[in-house]
Amino acid sequence: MATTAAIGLSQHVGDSYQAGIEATHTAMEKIANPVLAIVFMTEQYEEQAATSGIRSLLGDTPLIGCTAPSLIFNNKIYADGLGVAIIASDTLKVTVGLGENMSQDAVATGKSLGSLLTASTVPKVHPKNQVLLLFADASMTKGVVSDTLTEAFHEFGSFFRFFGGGSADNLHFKKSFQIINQKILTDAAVAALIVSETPQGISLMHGWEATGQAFVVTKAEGKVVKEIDGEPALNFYMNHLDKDTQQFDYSQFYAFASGHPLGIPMGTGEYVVRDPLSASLEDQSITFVSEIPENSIVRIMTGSKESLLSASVSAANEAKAGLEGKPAALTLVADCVSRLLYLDDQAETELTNIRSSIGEDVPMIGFFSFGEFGIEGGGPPALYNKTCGVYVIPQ
Amino acid sequence: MPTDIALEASLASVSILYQISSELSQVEDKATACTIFVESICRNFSIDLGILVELDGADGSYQAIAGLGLTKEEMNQFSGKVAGSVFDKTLQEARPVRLASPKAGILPEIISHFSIQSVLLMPIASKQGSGYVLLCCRLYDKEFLFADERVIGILATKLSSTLDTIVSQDNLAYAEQKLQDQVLEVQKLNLALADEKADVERQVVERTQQLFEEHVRFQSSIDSLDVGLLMTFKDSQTISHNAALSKILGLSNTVKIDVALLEEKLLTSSFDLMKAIENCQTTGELFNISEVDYGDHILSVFGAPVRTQDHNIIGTVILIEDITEAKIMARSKDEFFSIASHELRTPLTSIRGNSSMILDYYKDLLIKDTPLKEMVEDVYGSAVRLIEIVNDFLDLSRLEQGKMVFTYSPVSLQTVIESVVQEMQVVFRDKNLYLKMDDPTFDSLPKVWADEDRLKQVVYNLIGNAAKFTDNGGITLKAQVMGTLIKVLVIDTGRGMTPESQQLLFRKFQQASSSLLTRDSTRGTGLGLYISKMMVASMGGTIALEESTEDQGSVFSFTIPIATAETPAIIVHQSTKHMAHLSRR
Repeated sequence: MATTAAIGLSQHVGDSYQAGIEATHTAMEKIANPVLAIVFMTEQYEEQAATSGIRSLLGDTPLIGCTAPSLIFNNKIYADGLGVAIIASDTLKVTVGLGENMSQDAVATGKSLGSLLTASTVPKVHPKNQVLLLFADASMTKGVVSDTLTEAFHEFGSFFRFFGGGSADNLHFKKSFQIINQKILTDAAVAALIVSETPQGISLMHGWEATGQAFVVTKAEGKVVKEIDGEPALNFYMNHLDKDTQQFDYSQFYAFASGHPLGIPMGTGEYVVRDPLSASLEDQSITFVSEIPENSIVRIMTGSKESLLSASVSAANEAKAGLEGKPAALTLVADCVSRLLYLDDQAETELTNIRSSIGEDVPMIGFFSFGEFGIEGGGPPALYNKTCGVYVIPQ
Repeated sequence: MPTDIALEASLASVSILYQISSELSQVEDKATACTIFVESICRNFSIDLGILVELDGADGSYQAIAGLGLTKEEMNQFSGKVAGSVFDKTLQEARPVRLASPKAGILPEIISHFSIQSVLLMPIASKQGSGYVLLCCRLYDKEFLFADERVIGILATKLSSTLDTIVSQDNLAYAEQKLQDQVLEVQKLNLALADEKADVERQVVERTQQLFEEHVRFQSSIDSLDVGLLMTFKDSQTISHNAALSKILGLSNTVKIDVALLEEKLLTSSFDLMKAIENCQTTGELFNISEVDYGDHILSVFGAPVRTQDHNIIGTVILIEDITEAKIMARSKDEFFSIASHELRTPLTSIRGNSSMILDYYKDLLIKDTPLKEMVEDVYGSAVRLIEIVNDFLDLSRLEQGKMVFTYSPVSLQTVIESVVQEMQVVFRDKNLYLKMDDPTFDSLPKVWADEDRLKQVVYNLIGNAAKFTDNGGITLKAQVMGTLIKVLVIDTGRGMTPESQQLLFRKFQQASSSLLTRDSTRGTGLGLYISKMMVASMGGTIALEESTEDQGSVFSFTIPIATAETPAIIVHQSTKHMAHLSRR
């Protein structure tokens, strides 16, 4: 049997419990003996009821998931939908775990995830075969997801690769939920340790390119950048993009700034992208989706729909290549919510391209995320922005 | 490499160098610096395993001190011996090593289960210890580039300098801590000192109070004395004097008395008070002036040094006693004895003479009437004994008053002693004792300068005294020349004396066998040795008990000056000195 997977969708917004049953039932029609279920739902659903509906069919099958602004289901995007993926396998070893209170102590949250290791008997196989699938609350402005990721990496070591994304609501930036088995959590991280006999495929790419000169973030605190090159960050940023700071309509800041993210150069030549989320006229700071360390050298990035679409195709191809010839059983996508806004009417094209690259017959499910987690080309896990992450589980 | 890619790589390198250097510049501890270094490099260069290994030259082992990609358990186990390890080799060669698909056994066993595709070993020198090596491993098909090596190498240099700075700062912090500890210690000592000072001050207050009370008690004690007391420091400054001193000197109690005033008041040609005090403080000798005329009073002045526990002299105490009344009493007593004795002697002489005549004239008659004869003999004997007693009292009185007249002439000691021995032989024969002279010692003795009668009296006293306490054996007399003196020894085989009894000899009314407080009235007046002592002294000699052992006997001696041209002057001087000494006893 090896590994098979199926997905189910419900847009039954009025009855969350029934929606959970409906999506799960659809998926279960195609497979039996599940080892893991993954759920993503938009904010229209009552999380606990929906989860109860799912588990009413799955029983004790391990379940993780999160809420999201929009759902990816095959090559479609649903602003109001509940999607369930069910994986059945006689070769995969799956263990689920959680860490709570991220906003209070992100490091402790990462350490809690380490209990997954003691709960499972992990064979000493190549890290290509071992993936920690992780969904973490990214809605807290004070939460530092990178700390959770780094601490989790300390616990797991290089024998695991990471993939996942930050859960969020529908751009209200108020509250998001993380789901593990029957529990509905917030301010938490949930994870599934997935060990396979053959390599799994992971790739994260963004398609943004650096432009112009480099600057130094001279003052920053977590996600809030206060000064660039010694000047108030907002004033510096807007002036550099030739915007009149007095006349600018700041209600449109995100729409404008999402096309001009900052990039932090890495030793590999790649850039880690940071997405400006909001601006404060009061203290002239800019808040990003993810943190930027003080003293980082940054450049303003630019992109186009073409470059973004091209990057997601590359990510899909690389993820597929990671299977080292094995056919895919399931594709998971964590795509930055800013890409959805930026690509607009071509957003589904990105999903179509990904699915085409991996295989039309391979079920694909995912969510638009607030930060994407993963290991791109080796090294410790990083928190990406404006990136398309593709994770393929082999058959 | 296309230009834009090269620029990107350069910018990335600069960015990494800037950011990591900035972070390292802000850290203050070794562990944080190492963690930032390793994690930043792993993150920026897609390194799956990054381990910073410290080589310890002291114990020859290496140990992972920071890392990423290993579990904590694996990190703790990442250690081994430096010798022969890849880290030792890297550090010794002091250059980075890049390996593709490293052979088994090169890297530590603890990471052997990783499928390591490429390795970069970066040596990091250090001023402290042997140094460090950064082990970078990639698990995917991506080799380390020369550019990676150069950038990581620069960062390694930065880490090295950072660690050296931290160690220096640690040393500085340690020194500061030590300084602070010492400051705290000093503060503690100050507090302890303050406590000690408070304690000392309290003790001073207590001691002052005690001293004050002691002074009050001392002053009360000396004020209660009848004897005047003046205590001075060594510089003659007055420490204290009592009320009696003021009274004796006829001064108001408010007058402060010091040595100068005392000297002024006691001004007399007979002694020099200041000199006496000076001598007392210098030599420690006591001084005593028995009779100082002070108006119509007679004073006795006594001085003694005041010594510390270690016998240092720190002052003088002067006692002044008004002995006027005592002197009057003594003179009255002497006069009484003299008058009484004279008045007794005349009738006693008459009784002795008449009873003697009765025994001679009525000898035949008395033979027939034995009871009558015994009564007359008893009257005669009693009269003789009474005359002896009266004579003793008269002699004593004259000697003490300096009225005894000595008639000096060259006297043959041998003749004097032979006559006494001869006279007393009867007594000794009756007691079955011997009395002999050691003739060789008396042969060719020079004559002595003495009053022959007094000298004879002394010999009588000593032989008679010896006879009283000798029941077996007898008495032997010897003589010997000792410079300008002749010494006569009276050796008996009598009862001897205990050391306690010996101390009582030569005192007035003291019998040799008595205790100080009891006396035997049947054995004489107890004046014999005392009178002999004063007579010998008057003639310029001395009298002494040489030795005495209980049940074995005693040896008494006296000396007497040999008659020469100068003897009279010597006798006058010595007898005056001896008599002065005796009168103080």
